[in-house]
Amino acid sequence: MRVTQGMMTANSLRYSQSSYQRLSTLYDQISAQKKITRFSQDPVVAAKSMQHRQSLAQMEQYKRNVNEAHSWLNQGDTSLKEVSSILKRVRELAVTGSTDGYGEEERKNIAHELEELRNHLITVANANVNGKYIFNGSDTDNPPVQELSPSKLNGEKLDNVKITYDGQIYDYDADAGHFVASGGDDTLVLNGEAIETGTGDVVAEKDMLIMRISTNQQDVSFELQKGVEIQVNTDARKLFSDELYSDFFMFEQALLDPETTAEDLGEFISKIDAHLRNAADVHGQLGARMNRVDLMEDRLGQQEYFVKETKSMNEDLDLSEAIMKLLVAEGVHNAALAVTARIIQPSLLDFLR
Amino acid sequence: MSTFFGMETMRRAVNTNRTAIQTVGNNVANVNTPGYSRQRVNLQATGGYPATGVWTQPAMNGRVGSGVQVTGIERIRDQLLDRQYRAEAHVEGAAFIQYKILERMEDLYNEAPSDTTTSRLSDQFASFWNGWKELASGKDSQAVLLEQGKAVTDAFTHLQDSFQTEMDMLETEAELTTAKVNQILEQLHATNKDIIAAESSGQVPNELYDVQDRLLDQLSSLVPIQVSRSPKPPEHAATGAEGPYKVELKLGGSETITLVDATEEAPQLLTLEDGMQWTVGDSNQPFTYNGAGGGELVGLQKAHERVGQELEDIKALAQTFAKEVNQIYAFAYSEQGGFGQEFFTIHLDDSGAFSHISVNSELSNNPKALATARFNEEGIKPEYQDEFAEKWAAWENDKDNEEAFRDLLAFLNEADHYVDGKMIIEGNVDVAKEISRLEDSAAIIGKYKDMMGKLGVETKAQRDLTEASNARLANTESNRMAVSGVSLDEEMSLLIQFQHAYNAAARAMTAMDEMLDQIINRLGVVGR
Repeated sequence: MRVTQGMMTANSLRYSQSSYQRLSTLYDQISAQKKITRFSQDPVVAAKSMQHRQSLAQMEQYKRNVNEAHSWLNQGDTSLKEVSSILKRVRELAVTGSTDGYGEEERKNIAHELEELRNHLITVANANVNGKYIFNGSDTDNPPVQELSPSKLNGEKLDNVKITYDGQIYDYDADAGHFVASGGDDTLVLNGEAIETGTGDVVAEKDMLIMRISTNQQDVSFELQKGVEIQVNTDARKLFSDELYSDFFMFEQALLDPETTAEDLGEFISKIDAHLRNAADVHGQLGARMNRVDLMEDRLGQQEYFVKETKSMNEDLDLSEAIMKLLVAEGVHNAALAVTARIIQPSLLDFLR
Repeated sequence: MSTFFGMETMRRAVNTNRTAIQTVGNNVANVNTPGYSRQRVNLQATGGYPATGVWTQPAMNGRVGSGVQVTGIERIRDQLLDRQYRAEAHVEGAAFIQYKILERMEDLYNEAPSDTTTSRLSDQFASFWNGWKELASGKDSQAVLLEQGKAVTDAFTHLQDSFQTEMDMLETEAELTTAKVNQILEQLHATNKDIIAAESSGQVPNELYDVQDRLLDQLSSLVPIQVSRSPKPPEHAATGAEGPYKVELKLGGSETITLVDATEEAPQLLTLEDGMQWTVGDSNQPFTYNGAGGGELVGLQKAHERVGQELEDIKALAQTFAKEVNQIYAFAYSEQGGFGQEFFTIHLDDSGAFSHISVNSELSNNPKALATARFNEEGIKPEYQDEFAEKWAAWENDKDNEEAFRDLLAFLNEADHYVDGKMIIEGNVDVAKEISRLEDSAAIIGKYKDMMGKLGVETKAQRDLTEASNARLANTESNRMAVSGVSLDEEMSLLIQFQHAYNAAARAMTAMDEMLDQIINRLGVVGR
């Protein structure tokens, strides 16, 4: 074929263009540390990469959820331990108090301690994590357990309000508009700012305990893995029940009553034991759940590692390979330029002198 | 044989070689002229003496040659290669435009692997779903979620705007390209006239042919054309005369429309119509393309169509996305307006078509109004359970049924249908959970991934096509240059060759001159 200078110039231009293109691609790859820098370079790699990015973003969120789950469960754990130690102390007190050897004054002291413990138990039930009450089902914005005074009842919804008075627990009957003793016909009526018995006597505030205990039993569960939700709150309705506070209160009342016999007081021991067993149950369940979260965390960590590894294998650049390629491309480029410089310059003209 | 026979022969030789050197000079001068085809002087020995014929009996043995003459100055060009080049230029022109626009779209999406970018739609999606997961884990991050929602709508709007801009730019480019096509057609027509005039006076206007070929090269990368010489040069025309060009626009199949014809007064020009269609001359028939060929105009038309399609797709995606989120969010109870609130507002344009989406302004102004609690199915009074089940099923079976949806919401919004205070469960986050699960819904994410995959594969295919076409074009161009290109070395060799011939002819003439001198001045002086 006839070859002219023009052709050689055009070809050198074309070759140096494609050579620059190769260098530029390698430069892109090396500076981005990725095999491809645009989707079309390898649609399969790019599509997989999108999938991996999505998985990793999900895992990031799961990890945050795991941390949050930990703080909920740990707080629950601490609170339940505290409940157990309170109950144990109450049991000791019950055992100590239920001997006839204790005098009126000593029983009064025990009653005082019990009152303090009861108040503390309310604080424990209202434990929160970052302002979220952990024992109130899904209604985490409100405290689950509240002790109320008659003056605070007026105008309130009385749905979950229970009154312990004279050894009985009174529930509010919305239809009748008054409180009815469970298993009896006795009633209590809210009259203005006072609670009156069925016969119209005003009940002294110190003689009764008014509690509002939430009934929200919805699980609070976090998604810790795709499609796997773990309950992080503790089903505390079983534990922080009306009976718990009522029993405390009745025990106090009994201690303060000079006519109470040691035998009467002894009954409370078994009641406290029941609460202790209850607390152990709830605690056990929580412990098992904590284990599960730990396992999940472990699995999540492994999964993340695998996805990152696969993602890296899919899209990350093998630097040494890329640099080798760069060196080769550079060599080719330099050689091409040098050759161009040599062949373009001389023509017959240079020798016709 | 005349006395000056030899002189005449040498005079012709000197003249002829000077013409040849002049041609060499012209080639050298045009070594860098685009579209220039090298020219060659055709030399031919002139008739000898005695002349051949019935009446000219040979008076001697053999014939004496009478020298050389120029029969023509011809441009060296391979018409077949021209045709090949132009056929490829159509393909390349169309492919390049489309490749450019596909790559541009790819840049706009920017979905290739990268650890540094976080602004693309898929990232915004991920943050958005995570925002709902965060809410579902009981965090008070409503404001954050709303910002993430805005980021998604921003990403959508940005893509829509960008595609619209691309379309506008393609339209502008189409206008400019159409003007360029018409300009070339005018020039071709004008040159045709000049060629006819030159040829009829016996000339061979090589440079005009070159101009035309160059114009046709340009034209063929813009529109699909078919070229023929018409009319053929008249019989008395000089050797090498090629005649004017007839240029036809190739339509679908074998159909063509004549654009430039030497017999016509004026060329048929292209007009860009609305909707990226062209009409030719005063015909109303739009210019349509066929198959893979095309040229830039067709490339622009296809690219415009493609971007338009992408714009529709991304709009549809935005709409589906907003609708799917809204459909779930509608079941979240909001203090402000009960059930049936919107998370995303779907905006329509004046014609009622989808325009864009944004986060419901009432929410973005008041993040605390963001609701996450689902209606409480168990709180529905027993006597209404059946009615609820019926309405729920009606909607669930056909989620696009607007009427069933409104009906269901109206039912849910009726406080009488619930046991007192059981409309929702306080602190419930089921709606947040359900929305975050849309992440795995095929309708949105799957569709987006499909779109990316399709775009990637298409871009790759179009790039390969463009590169292959480019390479073929370069090869053809190379072949063409091999035939028509000026080689300086070659011209130099020829220069020397003709120079020597010129010198030698001059020397022969001198010899002849000396002979005559001998005869005229020196003869008959014996004994003087």
